[in-house]
Amino acid sequence: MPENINPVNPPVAPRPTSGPLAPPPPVEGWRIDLLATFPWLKWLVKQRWFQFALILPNLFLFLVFLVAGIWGTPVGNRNILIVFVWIFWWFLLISVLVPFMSRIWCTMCPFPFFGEWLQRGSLLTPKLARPNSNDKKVGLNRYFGLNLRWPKALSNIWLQNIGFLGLCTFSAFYLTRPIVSVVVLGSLIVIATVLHLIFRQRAFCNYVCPVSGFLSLYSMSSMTEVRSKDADTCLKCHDKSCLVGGERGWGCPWFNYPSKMERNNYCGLCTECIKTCPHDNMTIRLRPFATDTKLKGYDEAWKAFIMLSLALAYSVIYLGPWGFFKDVANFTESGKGLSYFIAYAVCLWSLPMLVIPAIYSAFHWVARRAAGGTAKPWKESFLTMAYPLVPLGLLAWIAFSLPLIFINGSYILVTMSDPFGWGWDLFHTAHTAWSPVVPDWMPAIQVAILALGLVLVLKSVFKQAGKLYEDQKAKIRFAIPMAGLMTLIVLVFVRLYVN
Amino acid sequence: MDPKKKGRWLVAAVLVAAGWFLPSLATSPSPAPQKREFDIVAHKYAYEPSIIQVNQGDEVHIRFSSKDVMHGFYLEGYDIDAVAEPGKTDIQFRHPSQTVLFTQAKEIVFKADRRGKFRYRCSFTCGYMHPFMLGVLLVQPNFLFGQAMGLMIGIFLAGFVLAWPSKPLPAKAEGVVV
Repeated sequence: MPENINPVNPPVAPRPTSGPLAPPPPVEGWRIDLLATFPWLKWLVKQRWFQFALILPNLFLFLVFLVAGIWGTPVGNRNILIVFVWIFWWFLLISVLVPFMSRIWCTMCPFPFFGEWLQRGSLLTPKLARPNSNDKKVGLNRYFGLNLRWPKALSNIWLQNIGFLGLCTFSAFYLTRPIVSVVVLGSLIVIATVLHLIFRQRAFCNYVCPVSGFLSLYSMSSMTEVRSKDADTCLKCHDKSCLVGGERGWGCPWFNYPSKMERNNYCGLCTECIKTCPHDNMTIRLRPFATDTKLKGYDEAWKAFIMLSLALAYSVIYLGPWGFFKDVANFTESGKGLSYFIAYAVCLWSLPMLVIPAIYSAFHWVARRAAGGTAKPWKESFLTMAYPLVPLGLLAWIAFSLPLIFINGSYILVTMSDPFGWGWDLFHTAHTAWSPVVPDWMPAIQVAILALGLVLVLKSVFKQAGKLYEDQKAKIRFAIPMAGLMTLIVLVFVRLYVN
Repeated sequence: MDPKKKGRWLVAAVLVAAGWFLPSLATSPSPAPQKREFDIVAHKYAYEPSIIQVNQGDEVHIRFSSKDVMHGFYLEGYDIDAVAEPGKTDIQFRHPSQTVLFTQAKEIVFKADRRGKFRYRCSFTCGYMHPFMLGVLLVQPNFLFGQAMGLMIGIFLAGFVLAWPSKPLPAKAEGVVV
């Protein structure tokens, strides 16, 4: 659940030791302050145009993609929309951006651009609320639109979970048909814009965007974080500009209290807190992989189940040799009939919503019984031990995505030169022959990725078990079934990829 | 590093190495090479059969055909690419690393000298799901599969060796000043 601290009238308490304004817990492992190490980076992120400069080229490309989707060739692998979004972007996002740069995609995402522009009434310069006026404001900044609070009952990622599963049910259509992709991506822009005009700040990104849901989960594993440098400076700060905004920048649009942020989940890396902080106390740091380890609610645990299950299901449907699954997923063309598709959808939804959680719960129950002694409450231990599924899922997705780019990467060259499939040859690469890169090495590379994943996961299982049981023997007894489950999941992926 | 910790790391490394290497040692002798013949029919978006299995050293003959639109047969790791047209028994064939030009052929013939899992994929754009149209050639013994399973089990066991609680130190070691 997001650290939903309302940025209106922040309390300024002197040095509290607990509660929302208490200092964040001390960090584990090494950190490298990137803004101190690279002064040019600090200069860059402090510029008001920084985020806009990242969004603008993406927005342009996005519009080109939409045009290609509507007027270009309907053949997916010859259309820049399908090739760039679902092959290139997806690979880049899951294999590079998320593991190394957290939610940098959210910094440059074009979906909320129009909505945020309208909501702020400004592209670059923050607007201050005028005294004694009827301005809609959050903190010190002025906004346009209804500026309503997001309903508390929906302040979690369940909507994103359901939206993502819903989208993935129809993946065979938008992954292969440009016009369906236009409908999906175009709808996201429209929904984002409308919601920005109704609800305050980035409610769409935090609670609705289906991409944001899994980015929030997997950014926990990322090697980059935005954090305060010194907790004491934040406690003494009377401005709380990171929260309420000001003339240097907007208050955190993601409903975070940046100085107390202890997880990456709901930080969209917009860098507003770095710009607004009067004490230069916010920074971007490099850190070890899989550092944030706390899932805060069942919504986040279920996101982990959903992502893992989909990696498994997609490995069967898209990387497997079984035509039956492709036919039912692609029922309108194959003629399999709606009843098959409904059965497929039921299976696809049951796997992450019921089957995998039931298996996980059974192993978790056995683990608690095996450990004996005084156990922490079920929910706490359930969420604590669900965390290892986060790095496991991320590595499984990387293993799944690698063949997509290595096998189909040559389509990128083709569509660069002929984005719409109209016979252009802009860069003389339009006639590049389809040539998979090291396809016969793919199973071995996937095994290496899964092995790395298992190492990280087991390390995480023992660490998480240690949070639940002080007694070393109880910890090991508890860890055996949980580690066994994680290993079994990896073995299923190995079976799919290598045999 | 203290010797106990060193010992644990050593045992963990041995377990991981054993998991990787043992499966490749524990295999029965390979059968004598044979001539293996298959009829593979392509249709949107699958091959029948979708999985074929041979032994290393076998001479593989594949008669490849299509029953709806033009389909390709690109075999990973064997430098083979063929295209079948519906209603025709002859195919277009080439070695992609050697030439972009296809020549006419009756069947695909090759010696299965590389073991493991190789996918055959459609190399001729055939429709919406074309990039996902594939089949599997398994050349036994598929050592990588056994090794990968062994590796994961080795990592699992190694994890416990490293995480197992140490025995408490004997009382005399607890800072007794004489």
